[in-house]
Amino acid sequence: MLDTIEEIQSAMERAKYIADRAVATVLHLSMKLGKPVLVEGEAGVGKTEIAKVLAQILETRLIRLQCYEGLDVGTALYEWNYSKQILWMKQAEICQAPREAVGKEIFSPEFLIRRPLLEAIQNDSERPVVLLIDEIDRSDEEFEAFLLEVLSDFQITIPEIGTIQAEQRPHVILTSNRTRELHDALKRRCLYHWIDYPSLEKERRIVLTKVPSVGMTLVNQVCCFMQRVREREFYKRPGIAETLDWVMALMALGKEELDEGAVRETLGCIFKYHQDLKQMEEYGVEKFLSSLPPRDDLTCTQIPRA
Amino acid sequence: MGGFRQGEILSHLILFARRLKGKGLKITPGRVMDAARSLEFIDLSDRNDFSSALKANFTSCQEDLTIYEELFEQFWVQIQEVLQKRAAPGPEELGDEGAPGEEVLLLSENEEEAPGEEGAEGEKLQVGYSPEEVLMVKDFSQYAPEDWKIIDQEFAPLLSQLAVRVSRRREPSAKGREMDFRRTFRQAVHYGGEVVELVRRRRKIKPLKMIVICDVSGSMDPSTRFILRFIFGLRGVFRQSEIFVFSTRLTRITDILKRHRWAEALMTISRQVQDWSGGTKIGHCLKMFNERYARDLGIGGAAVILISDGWDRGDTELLDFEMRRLKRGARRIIWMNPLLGSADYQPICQGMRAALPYVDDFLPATNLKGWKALGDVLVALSP
Repeated sequence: MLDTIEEIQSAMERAKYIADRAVATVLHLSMKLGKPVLVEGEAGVGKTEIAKVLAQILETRLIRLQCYEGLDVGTALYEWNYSKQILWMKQAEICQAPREAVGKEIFSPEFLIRRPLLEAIQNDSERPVVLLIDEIDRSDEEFEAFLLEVLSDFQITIPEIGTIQAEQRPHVILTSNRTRELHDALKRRCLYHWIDYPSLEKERRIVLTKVPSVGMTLVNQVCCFMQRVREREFYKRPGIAETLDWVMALMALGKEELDEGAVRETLGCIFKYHQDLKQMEEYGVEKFLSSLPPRDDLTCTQIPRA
Repeated sequence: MGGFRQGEILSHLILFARRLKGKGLKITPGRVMDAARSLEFIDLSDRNDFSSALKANFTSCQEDLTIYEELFEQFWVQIQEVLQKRAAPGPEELGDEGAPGEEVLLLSENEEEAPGEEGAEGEKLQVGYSPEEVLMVKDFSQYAPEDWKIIDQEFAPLLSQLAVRVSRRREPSAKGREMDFRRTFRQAVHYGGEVVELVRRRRKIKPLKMIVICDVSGSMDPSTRFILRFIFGLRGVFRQSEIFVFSTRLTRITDILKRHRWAEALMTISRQVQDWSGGTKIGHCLKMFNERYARDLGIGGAAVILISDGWDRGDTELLDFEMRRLKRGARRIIWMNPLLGSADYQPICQGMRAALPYVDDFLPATNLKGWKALGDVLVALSP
């Protein structure tokens, strides 16, 4: 059904994700080659969203593994339900159940806590699931090595049960914020895609798709403003997530147009660091505002120069 | 799109991959094969699809993208020529398909080869890729080889001592706070299922991160190679390190040091660092570091080692500001100055004076004593 790049792209747009052709191409190849996709980019440009949308358009489940420092096999793969096992054993002791039976029982799937990776490999869904491994750069190198193993064979060995082989390989999306370099071996296994900040046109389309009730003037002004902001030096430049937050905040305040007061009141939607707020004051809010498209310019194909 | 046989472009694809590899991209035979397979699923006449398909296969970080775009243009032109030549396709061309196959083998052999022996093959392929690059390669042969032997002999035991001290300090402790159920139960198996021993665990200790920012400007020239050798050695002990060099611009060389052996790393660095032996703008380069890298690399808790003589042609106010910013994030700032080795040196030049208030340790960079002292500081900081 999603057999061509065009189909993927339009399906993603129907799912309210404005994808450029490059993203669709990478996803298409990933499905054809059965390779994971590694998505990198600045925070808030929609990396995680790709996996969510992919699951949606493939009409399948999304299984998410959020990485953090110290993430280990017990939290990512499986864990025995120890307390349940102990209770079961106590119960068996009282009932004087035969030992062998108890031994078998407590290491049966019933006592297994399934964590995301196991779930992605063994599940009862009809179609391959989408496995999102989010912010892989936050996990440590040991976990990365382990992940490499899982991603190359798609099988997991549990000593008490045996080897579990994936019946259908999940579609794997990895995201990274580049807080550290990933290992070459992992990168080589993956198709790579870098998401940049969106162009003005793309950002407008995204806002209009996500917040259809917004007025054209506000969209044009907000998007131009954001493009301008991203040209400057800030500790953390705002992403699309911030743009959407901001548009909704402005709408909640009943604004149809940007003015200095509105911008100042809502600056917290764009900047999340004190030093950036200060920086903004230094640059001067009015300077950014002076270069916005006028109210009646609805075409807004380029950012007017100051 | 007509019948475009893969064999026709495969040899070009391999050449393209090798060129990318020559530029430092992580290309493996597996990736080349996947790239070739990818072409089956896209419209080859569409430049954008063609480019993004190969890009997904061949690149693996943002820095790769520019290199890729540069070389892709040339590759695309070649592919167009192949397409046009296709006017007279004949069955005899089938014979070609063998040749690319051999090249795949060649590529994989290349992979196994020692990095130093790759030269001849690699250079042949790079003909036509801006000859200026060759001129940029600085001649390091002016250093007397016997000096190097002595330094290596002295430095190697220092490093191995350091490695022992660092790793000993990372031994896990038995007094963890959390219970390790998995291990406890595994242990219990030995005692017939009775839990005799509680296994505890504690959070893994993070090794010390070292960030080195080294001046390679003209005034540093006599000692640069010496210093880089030490940094290269230290990187082997403190695996969590990031290395930068600068004169007027900042260049990240961590990946180069990671990927190559010493001699080759040095060649690659001097090739890639365009402003080698140029002027110095410490403030400006620290600004670049603070803005571009400090946050992404997680500078908090890192020991930052600055190596420079402090002769700054830039703005001292900027240097002061950026040093303050750096100080806020870093755990410790160590400044190594090659001039400090001489007895009568006084830190009077502007740049050095501006930076000193923010420096925790001020060490000489051109004698072994200084590097030993650095080792001590780093060990003390290690968990």
